[in-house]
Amino acid sequence: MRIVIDLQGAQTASRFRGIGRYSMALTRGILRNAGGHDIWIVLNGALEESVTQLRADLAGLVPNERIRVFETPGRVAEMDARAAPRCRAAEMLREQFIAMLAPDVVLVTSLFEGFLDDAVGSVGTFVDGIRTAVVLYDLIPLLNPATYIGSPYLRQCYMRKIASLKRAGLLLAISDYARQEAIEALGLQPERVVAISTAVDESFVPGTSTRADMDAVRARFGVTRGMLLCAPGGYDPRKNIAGLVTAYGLLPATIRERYQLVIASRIAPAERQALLAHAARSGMTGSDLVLTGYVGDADLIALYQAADLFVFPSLHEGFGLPALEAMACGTPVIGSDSTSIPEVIGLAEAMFDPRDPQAIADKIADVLGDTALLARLREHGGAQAARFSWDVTARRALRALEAQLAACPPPPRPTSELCEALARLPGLGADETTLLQLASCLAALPDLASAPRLFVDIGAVAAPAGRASLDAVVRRLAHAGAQAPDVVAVALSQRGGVWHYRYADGQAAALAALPCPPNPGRVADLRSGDLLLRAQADSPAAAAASADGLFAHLHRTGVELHCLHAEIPAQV
Amino acid sequence: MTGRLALILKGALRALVLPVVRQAARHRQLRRLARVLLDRMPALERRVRAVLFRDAPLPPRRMHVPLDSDDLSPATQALYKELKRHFDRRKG
Repeated sequence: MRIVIDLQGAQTASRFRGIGRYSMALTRGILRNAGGHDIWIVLNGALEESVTQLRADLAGLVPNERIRVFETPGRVAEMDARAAPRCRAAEMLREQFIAMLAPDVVLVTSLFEGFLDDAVGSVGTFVDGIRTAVVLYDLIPLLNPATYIGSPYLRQCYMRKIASLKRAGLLLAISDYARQEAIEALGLQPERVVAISTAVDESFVPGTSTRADMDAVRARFGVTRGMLLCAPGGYDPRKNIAGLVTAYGLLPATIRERYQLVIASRIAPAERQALLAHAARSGMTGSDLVLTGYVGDADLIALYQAADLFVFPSLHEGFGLPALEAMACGTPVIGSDSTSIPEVIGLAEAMFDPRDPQAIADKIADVLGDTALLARLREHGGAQAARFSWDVTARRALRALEAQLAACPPPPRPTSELCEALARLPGLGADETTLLQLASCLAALPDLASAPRLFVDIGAVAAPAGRASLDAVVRRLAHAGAQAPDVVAVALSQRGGVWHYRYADGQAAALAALPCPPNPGRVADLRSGDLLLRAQADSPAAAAASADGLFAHLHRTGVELHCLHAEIPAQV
Repeated sequence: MTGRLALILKGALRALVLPVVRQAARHRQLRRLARVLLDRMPALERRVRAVLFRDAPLPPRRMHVPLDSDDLSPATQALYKELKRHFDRRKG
């Protein structure tokens, strides 16, 4: 079975948040457990800086030729309403791009991207979505529209994503709760939504921080007493930090003297001021409340391990990863009895009503005053955390994807139909720039039947040493059993300030003793999997093309670049 | 009737105010002032951002696309011509 994973969830700003981590961890888990399945990765070329990084991260796990990069017709971020027609075009192009990789199933790691960045996510706008599975994290904006999708335009964009979600053949929910929420809120048939759960990174384990590490992190954040920790995973009204602060204010003075409340989260200055004012109103003084700001994983793990109790008072979660992370680090955890959190914590006596500050305070006091309960929570947390693993999640995802095979495969539609559909898009300009961009995107659609070609920069082989090097490369390819590739002579040149490799003219090709390409002077179509033997970077043309970003662009596209000089490229 | 009037008034207000806000948003000092205000009133942020973003065209992306259709490779040029044919038909 060929599984194509759309990994844009690890490309956008989400790559620094839970969704990006989830996307990468799930992909790695699937690669570890794939068995006989072929895994292909699709990336978005418009999110340039992440493509090179992801190629490096996946090196050794996925062959380079199975990482394919689609292009968008210019900027497509939806925050600029004028980009909307290009965005619709990009959605169709992406669906066709994936369909042309002949997938048995498609897995989209995050659909809700593309408002602030150039991510493109849709299902069923051009190619049937029956074999597309989408990871579903939560539907919090849909269920709380006033808070999260207040502006009409943002709501319109979000609802378009919801429509795509409904067209997907399968949703992979990150918790049982998220699954049930999707079935009810979207009116889906239960068999179309499968819970695959989630897990924590392997670095979240108990006992990795020494006493000195924990003392250092405590000193850095000004923690001088026992620690009640909350790391909400982002600051947001639904995280109910204000409720927790109120609850702390209701604790008996003896407990407050022994424990500080530590909130480990990125927090905006205005929200920090509001929370400090709320803390003062709740009777907290000086060092009772510690706001660490953003903490990296290493500090977070040290904080978990140094905490006496982790409190997770969130009102709404798709999963509630911080609670699981804390349990995995051996910290006693109590949490809210709402949404997915009971499923994560898995112990009735560790739950409280998050809307009642007194109930939170009572639970904290009960636990801190009962060493046997603290020990029980610690022991339960370790066992509970062990039930979640990325391999288990990946195997659940694979089983669900295999079951999806029973559906009919949607073949890619003819390119002429795509051209027609693009022309029908309202608001999409018919200007020269747009047409050239669209044509280039169409030309970049994958063609699995075409054999890789060997493009040779004539500037690199004009010298005898370069020629000898090229001959050695061709001999080595033949020796490796690879079919002798078509050798195409190209040359660097620029028009209008844009550098390209163009097919070399007959005279130049003859000078380099290479066959003359049929269309001299035209821009050469270099595709994923092609090899390019290029001139050294110190030649003026190569330096200018490099400064223009041509080589970076070709590398992102999946062209294998080798510098050709007397030394034979090792990778070839 | 009252609801209809309110809707008309709301629409008229938007039509008058939004262009002013968008025009104002072009000025650096006003943008800085807006940022200070937003720091103090975070609840307004989403709504105001939506207005500002819709007026701020995205900077173009550097793409390695030929600037002239005669410069395209024959395969890409064929796609270009097919696209053009469909777009011309739309215009016609």
